[in-house]
Amino acid sequence: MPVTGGIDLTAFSQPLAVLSVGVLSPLGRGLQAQLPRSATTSHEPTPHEGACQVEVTTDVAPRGLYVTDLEHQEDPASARQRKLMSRSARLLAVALHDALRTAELSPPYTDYGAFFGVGSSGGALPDLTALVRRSIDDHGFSMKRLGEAGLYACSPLFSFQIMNNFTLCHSAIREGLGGPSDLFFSRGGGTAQALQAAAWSLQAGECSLCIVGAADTAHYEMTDGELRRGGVMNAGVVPSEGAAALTLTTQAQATTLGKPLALLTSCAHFPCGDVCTDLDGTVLDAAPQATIVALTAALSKTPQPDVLVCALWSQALRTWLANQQPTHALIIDAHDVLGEALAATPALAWCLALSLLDRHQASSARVICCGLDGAVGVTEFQRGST
Amino acid sequence: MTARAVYVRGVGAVTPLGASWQASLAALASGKTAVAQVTEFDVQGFPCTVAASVPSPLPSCAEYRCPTSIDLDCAPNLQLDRRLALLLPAVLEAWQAANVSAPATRIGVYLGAESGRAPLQSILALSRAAGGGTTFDHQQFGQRARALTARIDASVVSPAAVASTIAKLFGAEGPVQTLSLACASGLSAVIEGARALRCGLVDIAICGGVGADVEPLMLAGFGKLGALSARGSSCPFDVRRDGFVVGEGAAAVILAAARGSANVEVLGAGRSLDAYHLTAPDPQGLGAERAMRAALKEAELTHVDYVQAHGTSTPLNDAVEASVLQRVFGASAEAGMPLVSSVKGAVGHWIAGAGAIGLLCAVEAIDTGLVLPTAGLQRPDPKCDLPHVIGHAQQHNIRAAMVNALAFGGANSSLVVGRCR
Repeated sequence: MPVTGGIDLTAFSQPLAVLSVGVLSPLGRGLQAQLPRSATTSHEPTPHEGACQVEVTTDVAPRGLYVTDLEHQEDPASARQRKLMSRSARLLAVALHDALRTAELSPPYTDYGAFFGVGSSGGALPDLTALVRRSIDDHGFSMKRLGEAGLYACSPLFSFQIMNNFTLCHSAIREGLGGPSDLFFSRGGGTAQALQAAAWSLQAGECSLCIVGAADTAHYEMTDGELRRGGVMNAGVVPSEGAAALTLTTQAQATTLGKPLALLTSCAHFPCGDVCTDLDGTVLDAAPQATIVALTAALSKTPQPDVLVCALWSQALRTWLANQQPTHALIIDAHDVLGEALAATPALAWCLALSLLDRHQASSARVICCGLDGAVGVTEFQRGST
Repeated sequence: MTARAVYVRGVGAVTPLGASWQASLAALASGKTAVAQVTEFDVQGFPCTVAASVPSPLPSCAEYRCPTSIDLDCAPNLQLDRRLALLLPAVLEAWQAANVSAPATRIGVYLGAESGRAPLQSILALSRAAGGGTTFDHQQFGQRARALTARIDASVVSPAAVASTIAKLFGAEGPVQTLSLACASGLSAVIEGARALRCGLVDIAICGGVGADVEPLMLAGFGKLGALSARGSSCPFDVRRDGFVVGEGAAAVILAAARGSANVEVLGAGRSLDAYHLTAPDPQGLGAERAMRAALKEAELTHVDYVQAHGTSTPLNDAVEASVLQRVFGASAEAGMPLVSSVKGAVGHWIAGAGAIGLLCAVEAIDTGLVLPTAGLQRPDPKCDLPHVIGHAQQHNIRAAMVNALAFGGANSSLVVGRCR
């Protein structure tokens, strides 16, 4: 398969150091919880083992993976702060705090950057319901009633919650992150772009350390509706959620901060056409050619890593992957393990790879993701120097 | 890292004062404001009843001699998604002015956008399906709302839909990024595009931002937050300012690695987080100051001739930004303080598009010497003691200019552009 001009898998001239990870997924909290035992034996991972699989009886969420007890997870956020957070924001608050704590970094974090992939951040549906309910008069929905009563029935932050940076700003404020920041709307591909942006920021000297990752939930009602409408749920996709945050810095900086957990040696992102807006039942049967080209390049890149973590959203892509009969020593299907957490999926897949490196079960790992936005992300890690 | 120059090859806009950037300029230069009573929907009882709307009907792409290579059939959501309807003519204007070409894989799209809005009637139906009571009834929602979700087209509400449609229309096969950083989205998108050019990832970057928030939920929400002007006036830095006015529009800029006939280039960028408050700026402006200083540092400058301020017309933002500008530029007494203006007095606050239209003002100042005024500013607040451009546009020799975008949630972006070196 020819590699197009848009595909460049060149490694960084200077690898970056991953100091720590904070992660919260249906598998649990922390890096050690991320790898179900079956997945480490590979090629035949047991789907969803170790994850909390919740059977819901309504039509909306017949099946899905959830982070359980989110409301009871410990972190420094006050009850009031938690009340103001969307579910994605809360997931990220836990993960980001854990990443900083695990790295044993001391505040202030004024020059630490924050680069994240985020999904839709909508207002709380109960707020919307209350707003609409109070805006109805005898003749139906009344704009006048909305102005007079409806808008007073919802959170004062309602309009702000609609903006996607709501996911990060709670954590940024609480932890005191003051460096450069970018948030990429992501259905998978944007998260790889966030990692690229973080890497560039560090390499350019824009900041000394970056927190990078993603947070999202496929269970948000409006997102759920969007996925259903696109036929995604009918294709065997298991909606999921989670958040992961990596502390990333230069190797030079890392020498003063302790032994890195791993090295990030390359990160690439290939837009392959937007499948999300075109989604219907027929699209799911075939993988776009551009995606196949990018995946082929990602699979065949040498030298081969010890472990390959793949997070390919569609069954068509996973079938294609199986037919390639990749010969990597260990292959993990992150989708089988973690479900589809949209923006968070690539970051959670990074954590699966980092978990293996951390357990000395592999020296090198490549993570290949293809999300609902059709983009392919390829990320490579090596075990940190001893 | 490879450090290539980044040139501004073309600009375009759709504003409440004109269907193109060129058509908007005369009105902007005269100090006219588009802020007016909202007539698109009933705003009785709303805390703020004015906005800066783009007049209907929206400009037709035919007015821009849409190239034959652009097939509007690739944008079936054009009629449904106001963000796209505003942005496409702006990108077309910029693209035509830029006169650039590159292989498809070397063209990237970097846009600032937030979620689009589902039709209010669909939201109402969904709400009713969820019981319409005091709590959101997930059971009822699940049983009754599945069919209704089909009314909400993903291509209309997804933040990424705008960028992906622009990429399809312009045959861009390079990176496609949607930056969602509230009021800093548009400028951050330009910064990402410039960074991709500097790193050699692309040769052409279609950048910009769009805001389409003159709609009931945003007016109600921002109103309840107390952020909107009760007086119904957008007058940045004025003693009478009491909140911002929601505006809508789109601004696009084509950046390229090849200079062509460009007069303006991107010199530096800076970004920061306030880490202070969800909706209020840090009263000391330390985050904004970090962003401005970082942009100047990357540009290897200590001074600029002009600042297109974020200038929202809220009491706190304007005072904080003014004090930061005084700190950043006041020390260079020999050069003097730069001229300052904010386009929000004329066209309102575009939220995700705000920084992008600000950039066009800065580019215009360098390119033609036309420094646009702050519409609505009559009595400058002593707390905002700056060399304001009041009344009408002025002609100056502007060699370098800074653009600020300071967002809800505390994300700050500053960009420095200058005459080609």
